[in-house]
Amino acid sequence: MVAFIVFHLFHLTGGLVGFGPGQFKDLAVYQNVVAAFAVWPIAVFYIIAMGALCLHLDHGIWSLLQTLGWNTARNEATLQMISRGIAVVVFLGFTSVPVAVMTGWIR
Amino acid sequence: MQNPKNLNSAVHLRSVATTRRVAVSHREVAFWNTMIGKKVVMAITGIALVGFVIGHMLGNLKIFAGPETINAYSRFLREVGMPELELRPAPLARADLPSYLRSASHHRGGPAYSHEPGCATHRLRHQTRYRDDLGARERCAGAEFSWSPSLFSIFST
Repeated sequence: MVAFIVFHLFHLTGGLVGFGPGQFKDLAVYQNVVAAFAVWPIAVFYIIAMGALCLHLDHGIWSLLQTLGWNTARNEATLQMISRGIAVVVFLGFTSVPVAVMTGWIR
Repeated sequence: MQNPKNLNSAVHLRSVATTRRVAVSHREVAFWNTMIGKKVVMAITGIALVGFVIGHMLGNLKIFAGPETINAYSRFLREVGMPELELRPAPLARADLPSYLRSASHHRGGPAYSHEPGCATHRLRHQTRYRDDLGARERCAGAEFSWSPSLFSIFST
């Protein structure tokens, strides 16, 4: 996760890696994203990283609810489902962007 | 953890006394020194980060509304709160960091436009307050203080 965050900041925030010279334009997010995910290994890397984020959230949200003592015998199953739900929604929301670029929906 | 056999050792008794003293005078330190305390800190920072991730995802989905929408959103994120907080540019924070880094390797000082009146370096030298010169935002957009490159200054220093 940390490796991904560092890469992501250098990539789509700073334009320091993954772009040709002069290709990255500050604040032109749309054009940068399309150019970025046109490089398929980078798009795949992002999707894998989002898979890791999804697993991390699934475990992490459920764990923090337990730490704060919000789980009871009655709501346990529901809270676990909510954690998993948030994790899956976040995964789908984030991966929709590289998928949309790779399938040509966004160009 | 202390071995139960050592419960009466002088070292252990001294460390217990120290722990008690700290617990009385610095409650947050005592809290952090417990496993549960660390877990609670982690849980609360976790809630904040989950919020960030969800907000980031919703922002990303603006890409499906077209280039204008998401590019305007990125400018909003860059500038939000700055006149209100009267922020002045930090020495290493530049909106156009990539070009700054490239030019910095050739000559120290960064892009030329940042020396123009009202822009980052100029404002820093002359200690102009943001509120005094809002027009500067238009004159040299891209040379202002911004939030995201300040993250980068961590890596670039």
